[in-house]
Amino acid sequence: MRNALLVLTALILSAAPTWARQDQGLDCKQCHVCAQPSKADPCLKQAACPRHVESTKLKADEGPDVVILDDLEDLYVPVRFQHRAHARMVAMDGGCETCHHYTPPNSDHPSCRECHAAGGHAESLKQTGLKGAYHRQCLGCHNDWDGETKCANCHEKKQGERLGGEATGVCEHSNYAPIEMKELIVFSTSYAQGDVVPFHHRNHAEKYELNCSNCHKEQSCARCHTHGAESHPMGELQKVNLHDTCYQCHGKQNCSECHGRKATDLFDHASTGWPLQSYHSRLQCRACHGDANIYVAQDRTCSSCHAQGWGAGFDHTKVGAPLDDVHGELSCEDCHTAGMGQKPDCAGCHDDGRVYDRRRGFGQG
Amino acid sequence: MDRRDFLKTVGAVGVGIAAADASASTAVHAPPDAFGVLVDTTACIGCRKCEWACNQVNELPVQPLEEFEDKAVFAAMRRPDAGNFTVVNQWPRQEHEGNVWAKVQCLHCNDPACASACLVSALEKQPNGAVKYDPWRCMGCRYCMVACPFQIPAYQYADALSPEVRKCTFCVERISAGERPGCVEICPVECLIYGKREELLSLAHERIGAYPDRYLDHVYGEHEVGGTSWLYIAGQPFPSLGFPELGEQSPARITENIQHGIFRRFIAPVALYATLAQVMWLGSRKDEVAAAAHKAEQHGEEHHE
Repeated sequence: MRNALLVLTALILSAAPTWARQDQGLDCKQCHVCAQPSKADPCLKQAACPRHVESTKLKADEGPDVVILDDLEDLYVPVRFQHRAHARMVAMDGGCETCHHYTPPNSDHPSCRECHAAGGHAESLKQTGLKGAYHRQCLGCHNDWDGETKCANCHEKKQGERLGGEATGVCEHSNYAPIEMKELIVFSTSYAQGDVVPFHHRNHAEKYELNCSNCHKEQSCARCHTHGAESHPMGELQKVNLHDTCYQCHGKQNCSECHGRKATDLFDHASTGWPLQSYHSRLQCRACHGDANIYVAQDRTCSSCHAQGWGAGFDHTKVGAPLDDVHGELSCEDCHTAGMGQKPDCAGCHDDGRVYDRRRGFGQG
Repeated sequence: MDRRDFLKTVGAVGVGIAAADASASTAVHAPPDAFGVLVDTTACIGCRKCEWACNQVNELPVQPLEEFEDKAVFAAMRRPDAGNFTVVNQWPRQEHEGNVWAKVQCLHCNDPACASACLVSALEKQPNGAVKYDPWRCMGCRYCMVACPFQIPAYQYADALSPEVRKCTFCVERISAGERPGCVEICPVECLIYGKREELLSLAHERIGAYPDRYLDHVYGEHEVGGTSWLYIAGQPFPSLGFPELGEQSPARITENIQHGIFRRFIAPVALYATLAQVMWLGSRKDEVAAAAHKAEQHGEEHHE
C-alpha cells in the first residue's frame, strides 16, 4: 500500500510541470520533443521556443512612457527609448508583439535579457545575444525608413564624466518625412449608380478624431514615413478592405451615403436641425457625441452637456458672449431666469425692455 | 610490338588514367575541428561595421569610421581588394520593396582551389578552418587569383618591391587566441555567428526548418565547391545576392585529377616513352629494311651487270 502511494506521488510530481503549462493553454509539443519532459531533461526543441506564444494582449498605453537602455553606459550615454510613442506607432503594424514576440500565457512579457544573453553568440549559438536582439528590433524598422545605421543616431558618444544613470540622449534623429495628409481623395469605383466616392481625409482625421490606425491597419511605418511615400499608403486597394474600413462607422445599407456624392457635399450639421455656431462649430464631433462610432442625436438642452460646467470656473466667452466686469459679478440665475442655457432675461435689472444682442454684447446701453 | 600490341598498351594506359580519376575524386571533408561563420543575410542591415572592424584588426589603409557610414558605395557591386578584405553589397529585396545586404570575403573553402593552384604552398588550409597565406613562400605568380571560384585573392600591384596576395585571414591570430573574428565581434545585429562549422550547419538547418517563410532551404557553402568554412543563409536565391552558382566539386578536384591521373604510378609517362621507343624502333627498323633492300638491289644490279 505504501509503495502504491509512493508511485502515485511520484507520478503526480512528475506530471506537475506539464499541468502547469497546460493551464496556460500551451501544447507541450510546442516546446518539448519528448512526452515527459523533466527538469533534468527538458528535451526542448532545438530551435528555441516559438516566437509567437502570446495570450496576454498587451496594450500600447499600458507600457512605460520611456525605457532607458544603459547596458553600454561605460561607452555611451544611455539610450532613451520612447516606448509609448513606438507602441502607438506599431499599433498600425503588428502591434506590441512586433517587439514583445514572446509572452508566455498568464504572465508579463519577459524582458529581452531574460532570453537574450549579454554575451551574445559566444554564450549560445542558438540564441541571438542581447546586443543583436536590441539592434534587430530598432534597426529592423529604422533601416527600412532612411537607411541610417550610424551608431550616433541612438547612442550619444560619452564625453567626460559618467552620468548617474540619467538618460539625456534622445533617439530623435527624425529625418523621417513628415506625413502629408491628403485633404480629399476621390475614389473611382465601378458602381453604376454612383461611381465616384469623395473621401474627405483630413475631415475624418481631425473632425472625427480618428487615429491613423483606425483605417491604416497592418501597414509598416515606412509606408507613410518615407521620402517619396507611396501613393497608396492603404496598400493594395481592394474593394473588400476599403468597404470594411468605411463600415466601421458608416452603415452598409445606404450606398448613396458615399457613392455618387459631390466632393463639395460635406456634412452640414444644420441639416440635423442644430446649426453649429461660435464655440460649438470649433468642437470635434466626439466632444458632444461621445466615443461611439455612430453619431446619434443628443439631448438639446444645454445642461445635458454642461451639467458640470456652470460652476465658478465656467468661461462665458465660450458661448460667444464674453461678460463684462459688471455682469461677471452676477450669478448665472440672475439673468438665466428661464433655466440654464436659455435666453437671458434682462428685465430683472434693466427696466427699459432691452433684449440681449450678441453682436452688440454687454455694456452698450 | 605489332600494331595490335600497341593499341592494347594505349588502351590500358587510358583505363589506368580513368581509374586514377575515380579514386582521386573522393569527397573532401572539412577538418574535424574547423571553425566557421554563419552569415544570416536576412538579418544584415548593411551598416558596414564589419568592414570597419576588419580594417582595424588587419591594419588596412582605410580606418576612420565615417568612411564606412557612406552608403553611396552600394551603388555598384564591390569585390574585396588588397586594402579591404571584406565588403558589403546591397541587393534589391525580392517580393518586397527594400534591400538586402550580403557580406563578401574569403569563404575559406574546405578544398581550396587557390591552395591547389599554388606552386609553392603559400596558401594552406589550416585545421582551424582558415586558408592561411604565407607571404615568405609566395612567389607572386597569382595563379591563386585565377583559381579562386569566388575571385577573392587580391594583389598589391602598387607595391613594387614586396607585393603580397591579400585576402581575409579569418583573423587567425584572434581565433587561435580563442577570440571571435573582428567582423563577428562587432556585428550589431549578430547576423554573423562564429562557431564550429558542424554546429553552424545544424544551426542553419534548424533555423530554416523553424522559419521556412524567412529562409530559402539552401545553406550556401555546405556543398558548394566541396564546402566552405563560411556559410550563408538567405531569404532569396543566392545568385540574386551576387553569389555564383557552383557545383559540389572544388575546381581543385578537376585540375588535380587530370594532373595526378596522368602521373599516377608513372603509367602514362612510361607508356608515352614506350610508345616513342616503339615509334623510334619501328622507324629505325624501316630504315634498316630499306637500307638492306637498297643494298640487295645494288647487289642485284651489280650482279646483273
